[in-house]
Amino acid sequence: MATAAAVEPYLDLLRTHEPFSGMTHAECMRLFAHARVSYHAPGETLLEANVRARECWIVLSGRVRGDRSGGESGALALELVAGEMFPVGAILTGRPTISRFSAEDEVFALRLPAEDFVTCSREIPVLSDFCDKRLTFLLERSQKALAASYAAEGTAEQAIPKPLGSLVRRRPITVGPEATIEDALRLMQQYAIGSVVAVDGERRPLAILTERDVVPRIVLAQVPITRPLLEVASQPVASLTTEHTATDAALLMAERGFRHIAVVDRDGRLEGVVSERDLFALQRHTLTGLSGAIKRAETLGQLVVCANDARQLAKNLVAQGVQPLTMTRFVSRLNDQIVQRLLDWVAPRHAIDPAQVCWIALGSEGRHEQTISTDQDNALILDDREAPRDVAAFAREMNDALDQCGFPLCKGNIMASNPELALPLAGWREKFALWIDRGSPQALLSANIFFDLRPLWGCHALAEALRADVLERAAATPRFLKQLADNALETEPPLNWLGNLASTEDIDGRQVIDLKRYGIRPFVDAARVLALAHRVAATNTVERLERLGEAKVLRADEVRQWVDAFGFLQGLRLRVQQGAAFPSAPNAVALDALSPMDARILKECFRQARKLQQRLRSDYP
Amino acid sequence: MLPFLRRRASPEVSGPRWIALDLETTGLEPKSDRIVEIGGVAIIDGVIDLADSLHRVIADSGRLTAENRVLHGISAAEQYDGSTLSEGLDALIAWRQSAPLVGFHTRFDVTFIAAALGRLGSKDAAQAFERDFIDLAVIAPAVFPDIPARSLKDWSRAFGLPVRKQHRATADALATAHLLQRILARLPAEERSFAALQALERRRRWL
Repeated sequence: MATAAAVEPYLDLLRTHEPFSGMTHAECMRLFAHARVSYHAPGETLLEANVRARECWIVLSGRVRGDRSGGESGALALELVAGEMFPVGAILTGRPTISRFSAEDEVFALRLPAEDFVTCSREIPVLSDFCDKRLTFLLERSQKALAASYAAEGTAEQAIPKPLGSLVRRRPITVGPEATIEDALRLMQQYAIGSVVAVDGERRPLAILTERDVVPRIVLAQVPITRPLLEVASQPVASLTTEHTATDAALLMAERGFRHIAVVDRDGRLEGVVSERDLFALQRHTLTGLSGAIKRAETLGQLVVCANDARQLAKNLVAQGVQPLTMTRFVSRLNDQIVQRLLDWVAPRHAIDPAQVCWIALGSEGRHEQTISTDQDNALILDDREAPRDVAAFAREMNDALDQCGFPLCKGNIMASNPELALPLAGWREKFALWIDRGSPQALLSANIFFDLRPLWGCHALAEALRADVLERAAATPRFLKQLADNALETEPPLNWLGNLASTEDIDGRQVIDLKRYGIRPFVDAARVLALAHRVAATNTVERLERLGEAKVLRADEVRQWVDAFGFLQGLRLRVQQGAAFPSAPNAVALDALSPMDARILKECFRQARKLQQRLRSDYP
Repeated sequence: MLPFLRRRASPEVSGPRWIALDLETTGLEPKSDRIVEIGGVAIIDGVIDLADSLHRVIADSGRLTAENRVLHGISAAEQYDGSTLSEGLDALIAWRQSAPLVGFHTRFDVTFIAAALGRLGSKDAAQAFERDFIDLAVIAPAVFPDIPARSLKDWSRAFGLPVRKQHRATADALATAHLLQRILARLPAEERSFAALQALERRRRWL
């Protein structure tokens, strides 16, 4: 233990800085019980990126510079001066450091063991508050980096989205603007490469020709290979800088359908080319590739493989730092495609005409919020004007096929094969009207699932008509909205009276919280009530909140906080599902498994849920 | 300049643990003046370890004069709760072990301690304590000839050392340790051993 006499000179120095200014002498002595003090000459590295931080550092004098790994860019650097600490986020989460820290000038730094910092951050209120604030800041500013660090799962090696610069393996093969098609093809042949880039005198990319372009643009188009390359090559070239991440490239490729991206330096000069193949050497499958594979699948067996790949891809995307909400959209999109592909085969076998029925997704699938483990919720709307017909065999085959693809049969029998859920449009209207007018407990439960309906296949107009009907009728029935609000308020966020996390059940002797029921659902349910009340047609929770914000029903800052909190909860839930700690409860997270940072953010998320519920309560007293 | 801290345990006999020491006394005369306070911190591989530190206020050093009190800022209560001189010196010897000693005008501190040990009848301990020390008051001007600093306070100011308190034994020991850190960082790697610093000090005294 350090003597008071040895710690006090530094306390004099730190006393004017948060959080030390608010801490008692005894608390400071605890925090600094095993502190060490070192000197660092300008340029020296204090702490590397991508390592487990064993110590918390406090700058005593001089300036310390933090650089995001891979980047030399000034934009990403942060500067720390006397009284500031690093790497707080990495220590509280127990995950590898994101930045490299080095001495900008003459630096004296005080260092304490990470364990001491973590213990004190739990037990010293001032420090604990400070960390909370710091974490909220981190949550807002670096959601992406945070998601990326989840990937590390505690191993230092595979952290952080890779900067594109590190994926460029060799100097690109280039030609000048005057090159012919033949020049390019010869180079591709000679170096066994998939693409050639035409550059100007400053090495700035002008156009790109890839292997895939050869057949359609040159051979079939019968363009003589003596013609200039620029006539057939793609222009402009999609490019990103060396400091962009693999995730950025993956998203650009997925959004725009590119397979090659030029990597340029800050002045726009070509550094290399990253292909989809390079990028996804990191992972087994590609988003665009998988989407194509689903469309081309000819057998149920192939689709089952695609569905598995989609789940694997989802995990990899989380690992690459894709935001949870983007992630759930990806998953939903791929799942939609699987359902649509299945329907393309199964419907004709039962002589079902897509113009006369609509296959609708309900619940989370209807909201575009599917996670990795999700069972099916679907139904059928039939066209009134056609003669009633038996669709049961068709629906049953669909439900069974989806089950084989890894979407388990719905325990509540909310599936198209249930004769009560394959109704003509008029039947649905009648059913929904009954729920809205009567508002029995069962009707409210159903409304929560069915009112998030979304057309997947067939005649979308049938679903649109039904949805318009619901919006109109619900908004005009305040009694129903009040009942729906009461129902949404039944589940309270699991915080105890002190505002700390409270477990919702015990599994295997461990205290757990069911994130779906107590975390996700309060947001989903409240957003639904408000959307129905204000005739917002969106079904996705984030979209609902954003539309409500645009309509000035909710304040913009509240919307942002709620969307952030919802995003974090979905992200945590994805990680929990992947970890599969409790097979019987895929959404349960054990309190003792939460890192201090996750626990703090989770607490904040539940506080936000509470705020949203308060809003609902004041709207429906 | 090679980063000093990347260096692992230094190869010299005395090992990687050095200690910085400072005493506060009632005056300048080892025979008649008394030790008021002992403060020391360990420097391990160039890094100050606050958990490896020693601090004793000596209770039986006689009543401090008003002047001493103002200078050292040691309260009567602090002195009342302090150790006896013999306890303090025992603790110091046990804590130092065989670590080499770094100080500022080190001869002064070492002589005071040896004299006190001698008066307590520990001639061997007194002799042992006088081994292996260096004086940064001599070494610092040799390493930084352009800096016109003389006192520890001058050096603290010149380098902006992160210790502001003065004339308390531990604070001055810390300032000394920080000065050592700056000196080591300035020297080439092969001259950072204790033996090399002793040699540097001897050469400087000859001049």
